Amino acid sequence: MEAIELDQTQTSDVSAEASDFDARFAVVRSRLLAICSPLVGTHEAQDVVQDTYLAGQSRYERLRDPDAFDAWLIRIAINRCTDRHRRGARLLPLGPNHEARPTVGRDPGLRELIERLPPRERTILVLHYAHGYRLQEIGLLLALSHTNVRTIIARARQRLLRALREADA
Amino acid sequence: MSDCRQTDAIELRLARIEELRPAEALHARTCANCATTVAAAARLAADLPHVVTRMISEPMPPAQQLLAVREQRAAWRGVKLVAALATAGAAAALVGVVIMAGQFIGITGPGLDGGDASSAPRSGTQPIGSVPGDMASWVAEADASILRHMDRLVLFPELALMRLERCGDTALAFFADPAPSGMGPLLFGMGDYRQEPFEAGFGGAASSVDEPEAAYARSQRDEPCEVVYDTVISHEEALATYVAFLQGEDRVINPRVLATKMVTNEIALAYVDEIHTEDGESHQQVLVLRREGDGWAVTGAQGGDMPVVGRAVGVTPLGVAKGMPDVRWAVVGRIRDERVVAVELDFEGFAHRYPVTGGAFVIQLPGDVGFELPYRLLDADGRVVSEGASQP
Repeated sequence: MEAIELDQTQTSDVSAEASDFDARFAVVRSRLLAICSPLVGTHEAQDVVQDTYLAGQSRYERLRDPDAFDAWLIRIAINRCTDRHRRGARLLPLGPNHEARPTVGRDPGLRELIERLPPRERTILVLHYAHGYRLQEIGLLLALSHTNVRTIIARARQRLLRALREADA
Repeated sequence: MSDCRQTDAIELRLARIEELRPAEALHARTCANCATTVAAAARLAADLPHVVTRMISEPMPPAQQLLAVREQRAAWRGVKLVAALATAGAAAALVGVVIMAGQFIGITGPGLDGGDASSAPRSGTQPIGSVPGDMASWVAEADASILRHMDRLVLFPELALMRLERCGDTALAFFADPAPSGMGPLLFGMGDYRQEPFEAGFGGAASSVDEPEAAYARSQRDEPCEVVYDTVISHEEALATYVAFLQGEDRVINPRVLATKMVTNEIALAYVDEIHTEDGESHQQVLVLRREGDGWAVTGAQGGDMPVVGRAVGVTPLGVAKGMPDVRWAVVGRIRDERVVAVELDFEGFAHRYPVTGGAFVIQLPGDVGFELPYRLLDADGRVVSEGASQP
């Protein structure tokens, strides 16, 4: 009887934990989508956020600092974005919320070229140029060496450069 | 617009935000192709930050905030591990805690940059060391487990190496650091050669696969423990060779160098024909090759004394890289006899003569014309200095 009561207590704890996670995830979900969309495209971002939910839910017990919840999920999501690369997923066109807009005074084709980059390159490019993360920070974030990050970003620039050059030609 | 051989190199340098060499800058002024590249690079540098910034609608937290989460998770894992082992109450487990904690620090630490090559133990005898972050992540991605982490290699301290296992297959994975070419982790598949090559790694990472016969032959030996040395010399050059560790001692067995193709440029490969081990010491000999136009140039060689002529000829396919199969074949060799100025090869029913300079040569063949090509090394008067048959 005592054992049964213990089980019920544990079940109740697990259920409460899951419920707590769901509630907190609901708050941060839109932010995750907004962050991931430029990295992998809106359509892919939906999948990434869903993956993040599942990963976060299964590992929620490891999170000791409640204040770090958002940052923790963002970390997971960013890594899921780069995971897209390994699954061979290709970038999809951005959705209505992120449609390419000609930038005044800027090369109107550059954004499209960036959106066609492989997810890993695009993610690192955005983290560096848009969010201002240093290459070393990106490396720590994605568990890549500084050299790797530098290479990936150089490769991305090379793709863009080549595309621009060919367009000019 | 005409093609220019220098355009790719200039493009690469600009993509890396490196300054052009004076000769390149001078060239770019007179070459339309390269001038276009330089102009495009300037435009990209100016526009890229603005365009990318416009793509985001939600700012990210400061990086430190995200990184702090990671450390916290690492600490929590450590706590759980210690707690579990303490519950078991086994004294031996405490040793495991120490080792695993060391590993764990490696996972969450600064990665290769934080390694200490000078204090690294001799590879092949060190069962476990700190695992660089890249490798740990890479292993996890591949659903593999670490059989042995060999840490830094003595001969190539810029290299970290580990042996992996996945689904019965084993592989050697290693990082070069620093890697000027930006080469990612390399992976040499071993184990069951009949299976698909062990594959993991990041985009653009060069990956070479051991030759099936060689892998199988080694798998039949007792305590095979080969180590692949591979290091990048520059963006366009690389060298590699095998050194086998048997019973804790390094020996050279069937040394061979694998071809690979780097992320940006076709690079060199080298092939080792023969290594003398009679004196009990290992000798490595490699050729460092660089792609030049339609041919290959030997830019260097490294190895022990090999006062022989005529054995350093082999035929090998050029370029084996993940996703980039290359069907070119070449005869490569090294000559340590100043009299030799040409090599003559017999294939397709004819004798083909090629000048040899620099003590080494790479001759690209028209195709797979066989491994055992009769050859003659000739002096300036056309006399045969040595002859034999090339080896695969």
